[in-house]
Amino acid sequence: MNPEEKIIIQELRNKNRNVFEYLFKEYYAPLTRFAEGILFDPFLSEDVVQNLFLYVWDHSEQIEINSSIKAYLYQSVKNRCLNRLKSIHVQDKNNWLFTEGILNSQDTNFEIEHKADMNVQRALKELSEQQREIIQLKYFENQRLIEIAKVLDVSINTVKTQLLRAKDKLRKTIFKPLIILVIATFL
Amino acid sequence: MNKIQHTIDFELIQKKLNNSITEQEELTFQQWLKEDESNLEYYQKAIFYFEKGSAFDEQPPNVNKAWEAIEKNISTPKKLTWRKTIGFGSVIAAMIAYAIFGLNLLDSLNPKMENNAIVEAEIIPGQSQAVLTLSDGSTKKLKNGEILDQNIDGVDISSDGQSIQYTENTESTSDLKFNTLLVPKGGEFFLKLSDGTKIWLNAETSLKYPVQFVGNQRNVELIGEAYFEVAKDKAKPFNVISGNQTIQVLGTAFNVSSYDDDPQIITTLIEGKVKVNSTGFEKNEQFLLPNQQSIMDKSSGEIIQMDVDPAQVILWKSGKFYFPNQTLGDMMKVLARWYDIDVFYDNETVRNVKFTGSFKRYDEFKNVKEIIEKTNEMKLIIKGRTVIIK
Repeated sequence: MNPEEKIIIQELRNKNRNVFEYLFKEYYAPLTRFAEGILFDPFLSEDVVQNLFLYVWDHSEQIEINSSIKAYLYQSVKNRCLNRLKSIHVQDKNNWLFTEGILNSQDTNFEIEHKADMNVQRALKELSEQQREIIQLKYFENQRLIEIAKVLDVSINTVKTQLLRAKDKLRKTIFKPLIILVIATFL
Repeated sequence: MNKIQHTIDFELIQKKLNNSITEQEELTFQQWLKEDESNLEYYQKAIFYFEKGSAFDEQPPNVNKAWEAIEKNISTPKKLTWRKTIGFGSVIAAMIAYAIFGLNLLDSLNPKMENNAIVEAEIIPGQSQAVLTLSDGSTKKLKNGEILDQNIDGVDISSDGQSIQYTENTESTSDLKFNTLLVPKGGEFFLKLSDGTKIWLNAETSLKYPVQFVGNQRNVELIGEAYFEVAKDKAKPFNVISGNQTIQVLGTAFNVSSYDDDPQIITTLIEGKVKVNSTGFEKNEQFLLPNQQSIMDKSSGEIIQMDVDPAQVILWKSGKFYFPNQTLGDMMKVLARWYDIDVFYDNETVRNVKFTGSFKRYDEFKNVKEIIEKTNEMKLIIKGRTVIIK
């Protein structure tokens, strides 16, 4: 965690409204979009994020942030969304929803807590060029599938298939199980 | 019959959406879909999302509106921002205040506008004036420009009509004698006590205080509004008593607002530390640190503590009125005290109109009237010292 983040957290603990406002305004939109990628409901998404921020304010002295504030916020939103899904008996063991959320948040510098070395930008590089373009057009330029088909000069079905393959690859890349390298040091 | 709820992985829903679902998987999916209405709802939302894209593509989340909603729910109140720098005006010279015990004397202080022929009376802003009551009960009127220089009750009292100053002379006394300073509507006054404590009194305020401080406490009694700069004396704590609230002070700067017609007593600390005690039904106490405010409910004795920007609270002391998002009713209450007017409302709902504005304290009321009329849909009709708001 960089020193600026430590200061921000300290200020939150001091109930510094200005710092809190800054965090809110900085992260509200991407977090809401992230939640929408999981819940598919814009109103519920805003609700979840607002409740999280209220929680952060009320419990600023108690919460523990180990990696980064951003990662903490995203992880918290994810957990809250998954809790809601529990009540409709949906789970996300294969990280489809999480991936959808990440893509929908339009935030490429996404780092996930506990897996801080996983990065969307890096994962995107593992895609084929066409797949990468489709992701770019769909999630970062808000293009409709039909428009993407036109731009790439392919059928809409191709777009759909490639989009799914891209998401599949992404979720596998981002959530690759950590390979623990054991460096034997013979002491 | 037992209703077993099955949990499915989103992957199944994803397959369904892509028409790549197997027959076996379809059965599982359909079972889940039928189990609960909310399940179906979620599936429909998923369809919509994957067909049309994010709802936020066309209408991004309204961050400012969301912030406004959050702001209301976080425990510290809206921090008021004051853009201009506030320079504390020059100290109003000490005015000798004469305390009046009888309330009817208040009326004799205010010059009444007898002439009803005047269509638009000139409502002039307040000025330095007060009435001082000495320990023997005698009263002296203090008005701007009138000099008073006497040795009364063992201290030197001097006044130039705007302020009053008590200076201990070599004669010390063991008698605790009190004077009272009464500032009428349309008045303001500055008082310096024999220990060096400075007090600015706002309109419609009365303060009872010892001529010389005897004993191990310094006690004053306040009705109205005053700003205190208490001289340090660790051996003698300074106490401000207002009804059933007492503020214990140890050399600090703070503002107290305790008007009879207000349901609360508001104490705002600028510097130092105070302890606010309520001696009402419930014994409550609250410590205040700088930039904190206590609001005591007079009827219950309950004390709430808030963080504030104190500069706004004490603007009256430096010649300004500032009303941050207050109701017209509250704003007019403050203006009525300063301009010495009576305010009536044509309909009660107008009282609740919110107003944000600032005025110079020494401005003529007709300028204030113009600003109010311009910024809100209402008319102010002035008849003598009465203002009717439509």
